[in-house]
Amino acid sequence: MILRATISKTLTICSLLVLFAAKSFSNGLPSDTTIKDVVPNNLIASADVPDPVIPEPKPSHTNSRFARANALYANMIDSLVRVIRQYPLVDSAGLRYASEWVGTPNMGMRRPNYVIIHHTATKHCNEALNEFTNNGSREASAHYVIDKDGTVYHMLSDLLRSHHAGDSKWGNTTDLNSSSIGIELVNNGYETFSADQMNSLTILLGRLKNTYRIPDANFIGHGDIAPTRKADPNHRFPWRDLSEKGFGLWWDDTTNVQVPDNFDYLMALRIIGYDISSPVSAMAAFKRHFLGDNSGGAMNAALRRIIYVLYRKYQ
Amino acid sequence: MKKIFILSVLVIVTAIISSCNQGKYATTNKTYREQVKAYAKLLQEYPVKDSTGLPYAADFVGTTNLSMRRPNFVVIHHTAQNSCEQTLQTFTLPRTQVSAHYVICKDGTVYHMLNDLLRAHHAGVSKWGNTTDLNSSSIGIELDNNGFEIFTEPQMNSLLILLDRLKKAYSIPASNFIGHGDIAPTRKNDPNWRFNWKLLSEKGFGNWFDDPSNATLPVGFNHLQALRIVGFDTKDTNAAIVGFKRHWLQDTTRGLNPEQLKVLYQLSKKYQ
Repeated sequence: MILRATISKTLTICSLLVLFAAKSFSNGLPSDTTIKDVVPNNLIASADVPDPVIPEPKPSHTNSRFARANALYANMIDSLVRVIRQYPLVDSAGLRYASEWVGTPNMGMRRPNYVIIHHTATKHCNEALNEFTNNGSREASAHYVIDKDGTVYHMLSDLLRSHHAGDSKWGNTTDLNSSSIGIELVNNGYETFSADQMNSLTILLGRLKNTYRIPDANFIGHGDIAPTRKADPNHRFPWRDLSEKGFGLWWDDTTNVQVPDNFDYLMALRIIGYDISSPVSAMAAFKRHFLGDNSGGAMNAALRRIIYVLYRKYQ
Repeated sequence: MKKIFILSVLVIVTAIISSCNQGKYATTNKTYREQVKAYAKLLQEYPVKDSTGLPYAADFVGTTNLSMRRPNFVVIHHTAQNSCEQTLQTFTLPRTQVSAHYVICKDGTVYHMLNDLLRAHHAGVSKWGNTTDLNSSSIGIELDNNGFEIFTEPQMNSLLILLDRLKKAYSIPASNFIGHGDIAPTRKNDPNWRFNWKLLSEKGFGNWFDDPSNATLPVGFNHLQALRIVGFDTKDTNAAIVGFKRHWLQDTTRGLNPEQLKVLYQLSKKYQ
């Protein structure tokens, strides 16, 4: 009697597990399914499996202006979660996959290695928030938006990819969105950046640098990675102050510097990271960032020295 | 008597339980799923407020324009082990903390051990251009090879099919198919010098240099600058040169002669 009961119970658990696997990993789920739908509570309870991944209660900002956007955000995260939980992995047609699937437990989430600073080119914070919660238009976003009074909106987990860089290049990296954190500072594109805003930015950069071990050299601007298209943050942005705190590199005194005759400043700009397919744009971007100068891409001897000093820090 | 009966029942029960979860790697596969689940939970946390001292807005506003971080590089390795089985065991032991997205055996069999969108631990301390966290921005592919032998045809065939999918799926530029020895020249020499990088570059995976015989080296050509532009970390000059020669000249010796300098010059032009 005990035997029969145990066997039947075991078979139930077995079949439930199989059912669970089949349900969780089938691909044909409707796009609005949540994890709760995929892993029914009663199934979990009867199979005596540890707690399932059930999202924290959705933000109940029902009276918030952004309630709809927040609900959509939660749904999108759920669909990404389904992608990373796919199992087993067999995705190249024509490849000879092993008959038994073997997963590795040695893994992590892809992390940012760069921080890209932007200005919103808007008068108010709301315009940026509206744009980043509107997924029909430019599909743009950032991880953080910092308002003029220092208020911080953290709009996306650091571990996910936001759409802030656009068509861009830095060194050999062509997908900056995948390897960076995007920070937008509310600024009309011409004004100075307020002290409150810079305070919040500095606190934030400190945490990002520690958490993801981002090298000093890799705190850069949108105008650096897309010099033909972008000019943000504007030339008033205090890059030098930031570099003194360990965010971004800076050149030192150049008075006694002898630049070798054969020094090729374009190659040096390329080593710093600039895309030099348009030399004038790269030069203009360099001047904006490292000289606070928005006069364009004209070259002179003093500039040559500064490029020389700076490039040697990128080796 | 009754005790023995219950005991044998338990044995049968255990057998039945394990029969619905067969396979040598069932236990580690379970760990895989638990780990992924934990990351899933992390992503589902909100509102996101993680810097102490920051004046966060009262309302959480999530953006609706988002995606998963993707690979932008492919890093090729050799396992320097005796068999695929040995490598699978290494990569399924949590204490080793090493892994790769793919392992390709000598007969061309492919093990896809980790979702492309997650971070495998294959690069170690490494640098390429300004990028210092190659694990976060690359796919790692391990080829079963003892470190000295040639790479088999079935293995190369599988590799090419795989590279093609990765290139298309993640829009990886041709320049960004590189070797472990390129990104960690002081520590690593894989894939070994017999690896056919030229064949790969002809298929669009990795850069190659144009015929150097008619090229004239510019006056004052700076070979370290050129190596750095290609991507090499030039802190250890000799290591960077050896890395370059292994990959582009199938040569494991030190130093650069005038002909080799020309090759480097031609190659560096592809990275501008």
